[in-house]
Amino acid sequence: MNFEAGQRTPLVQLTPTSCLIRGECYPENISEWSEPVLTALEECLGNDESEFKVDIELYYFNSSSAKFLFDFFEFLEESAEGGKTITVNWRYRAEDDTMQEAGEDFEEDMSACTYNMVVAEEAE
Amino acid sequence: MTIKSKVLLIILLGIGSLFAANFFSSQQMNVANKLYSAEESITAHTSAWFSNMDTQFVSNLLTFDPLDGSESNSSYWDPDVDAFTGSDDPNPLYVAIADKDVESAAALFEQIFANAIMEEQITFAIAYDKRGLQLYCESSLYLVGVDPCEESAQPDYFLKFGSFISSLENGSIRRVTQINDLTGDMPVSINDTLAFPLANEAEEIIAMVVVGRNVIDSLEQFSENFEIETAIALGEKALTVHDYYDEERPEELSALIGSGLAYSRDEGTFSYSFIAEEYGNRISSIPFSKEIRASDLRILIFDDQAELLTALKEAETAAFIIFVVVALVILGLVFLVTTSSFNRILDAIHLLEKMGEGDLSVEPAHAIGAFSSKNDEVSRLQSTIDDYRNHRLDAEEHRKERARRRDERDRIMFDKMSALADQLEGEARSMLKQEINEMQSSVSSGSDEEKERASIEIMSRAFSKMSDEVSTLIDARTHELVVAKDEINSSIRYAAKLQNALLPKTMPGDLDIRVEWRPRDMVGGDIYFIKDLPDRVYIAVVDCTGHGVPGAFLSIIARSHLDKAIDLDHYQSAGAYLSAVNELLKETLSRSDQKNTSEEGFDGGVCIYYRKEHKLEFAGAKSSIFNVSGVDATETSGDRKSVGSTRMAADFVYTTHEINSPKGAFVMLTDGITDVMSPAEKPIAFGRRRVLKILRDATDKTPENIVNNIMSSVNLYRGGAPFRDDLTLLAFSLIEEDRENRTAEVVGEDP
Repeated sequence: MNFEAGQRTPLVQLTPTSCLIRGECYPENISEWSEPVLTALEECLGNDESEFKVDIELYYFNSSSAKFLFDFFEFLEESAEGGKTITVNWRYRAEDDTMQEAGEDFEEDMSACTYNMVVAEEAE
Repeated sequence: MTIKSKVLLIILLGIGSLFAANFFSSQQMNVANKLYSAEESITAHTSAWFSNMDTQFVSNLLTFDPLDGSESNSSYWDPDVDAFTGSDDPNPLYVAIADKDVESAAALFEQIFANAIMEEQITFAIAYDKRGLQLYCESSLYLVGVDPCEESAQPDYFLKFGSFISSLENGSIRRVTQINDLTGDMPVSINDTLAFPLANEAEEIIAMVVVGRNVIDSLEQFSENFEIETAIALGEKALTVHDYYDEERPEELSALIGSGLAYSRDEGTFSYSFIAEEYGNRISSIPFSKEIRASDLRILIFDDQAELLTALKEAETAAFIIFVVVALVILGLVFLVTTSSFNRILDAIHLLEKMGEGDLSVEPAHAIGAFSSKNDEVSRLQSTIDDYRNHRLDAEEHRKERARRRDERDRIMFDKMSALADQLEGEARSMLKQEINEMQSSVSSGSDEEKERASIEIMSRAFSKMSDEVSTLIDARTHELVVAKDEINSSIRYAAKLQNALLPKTMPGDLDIRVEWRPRDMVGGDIYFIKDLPDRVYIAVVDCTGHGVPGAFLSIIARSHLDKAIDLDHYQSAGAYLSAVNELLKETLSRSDQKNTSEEGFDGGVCIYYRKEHKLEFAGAKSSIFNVSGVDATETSGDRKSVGSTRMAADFVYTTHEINSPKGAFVMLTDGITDVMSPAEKPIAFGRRRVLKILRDATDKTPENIVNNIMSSVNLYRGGAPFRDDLTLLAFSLIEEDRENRTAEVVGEDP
């Protein structure tokens, strides 16, 4: 399932075993955009697959989008606690300290998931 | 000259040329034919004549030849045998000749030739002794011309008798002998003759015999056989059968002979054949014999060709008539075709001329005659003109239709404008009425084109009138919208004024504080707060969630809590202060909305400067404070928890960061600064590292310069992109002199 990138929203690609979020995230009304995404994620996590891989590469998100990310990671944590092997790769550019720090912030809350800070190549 | 005449003239000339060419070539052919037939004629006649003569010679004269003659005859010439009596005595003839016994010899010759002469096998026989003395002469009873045995007869060999005798030394000869009458009374007789010598045992010639035959018989026979007239030409003279028979020579024959002789003179030839058309005869000339020159003696042959010539003439005439008739028929046909075509072309031209004058009523003629078809050039021209005419008719129809519609349109326009005029009053009404009248007169006169122009003109005028009306209406509507917008804007401007009023207006004297406060939409969620108390100063920079009006509302609440949380009477650490604000805010928000699940609250940092202790305390909620002192710039991060959010425990205690003897400048800011994005496709936020670098690199580290540096960097970084968020940037430093004075004051007060 794909959510195309918008002017203020990132691309979201969901499969039964993976999730990719890439772009910027600062919609005027975060819940309007995030609710269908979270619902779709819930569906994806609800299957019998044993592994789930998440790649997140954001360039910017505003404070209200931060709440969406909290909820998003919370889902992942719950699912991981339920026995699923979940890997989260937080991708950021080496020069992007803001996203690096944001990733580090989220890392603190994660325990059940495997959480990796990954330096993305600019070429990607 | 019209094209038609030219075409006819050219065809006429062509036919004439063809006729001339044909005539010339047939003439050439005729000449060739005549030459050929002349050759043929000469050859045929010559061979016929020669063969006739030869036959006569062999059967009549040659029989007496001593060698080639008949056995009985030749035996007479044997000197050893007596053929006359049949005894073995010597030949009595030779004896008689040797004895000069002329009488005996003559008797013996008589015995030999009498029979032959009587039977007209030969015309004459003459014998001479070797001196030329005539021994014997006998001639036929039926003579024509001179009698060879007459005294006056002179054979031609008499004139050259010596050479005649010597010519016989080798045996017999055949010759043509002309015998002239010395008296001139009788015509010359021409004879084919055989002459032979008589030789004795000693091979001596003792006598000569000449036997001859008048050729007139042969000539008559030849003429009869070939149904021709003949004449013998001796040089410039001519002899005919009539001359011999003493008859009157027919005039026509004389004329023919004259023509033949003249031809010979003119052409210098004696062997020829030609057609004398004026006499209707072919005149041929052939040599008399092989032995004699044609110039001396020849035969003229007159072959009546009148019938053939007539037939030829008739054929020629018939050919000419056929040719003329065919030429006339062709000319006539061409004349008909061109006339019919050119008449049709003239019709077409007439039609075009009429059309040129604008008269489309002339119907095209479509008579297809015998000499025209639907596919010929003129028909195609006609059909093209027809098409053109139809197009013109269509166009005319179309033009009428357009004029009708135009009139209709004009009428509607006038109706509408009149209706509009009726609604007007006073001068405007009369002006419009007048205008309508002018317009009506302009479209009702003049040519079609002028009417069309006038119609378009009034249409544009009417349109401009109408558009004026619509413009007026739009102006009115736009005005309403502008008023409404102005109202909203003025509300927001007022709100901005109110929010501005909440911002600190006075600054503590011992602090140099510079602020850049820029809400994205006139009002916003960012706010800064400075509370100057005698012993301390509170400085807060907060970013409430949301922006615009909602953000502004929250900022007002936040500001009031920031004020309310200050404990005036006791020492209050920065962390405790921020925790108190958190508690108050959570209480307010959860009370206002039990189901508040959103993240309302704020991020931000607070600073408290204790003057007496010369100490700065900082506590931050997802915020940092930057310090630049000398070449060094540091960042002190606050807790990673937002104030007032649902995730926050109400009793959360924020960490207090103490900075003793603060030096240099301090910077507090909201994420409106750090979240400024580069304009790239995958943008990168401005971030805190860039802030630190700017602080380090700044040569002038006064708050004013720091604020200016950061703002210009931020503006450069975002390029043309608009701000995404409200932003607040606050830099301050302690004014050292002032502080020292104050400290001194405080110390001084101290007992």
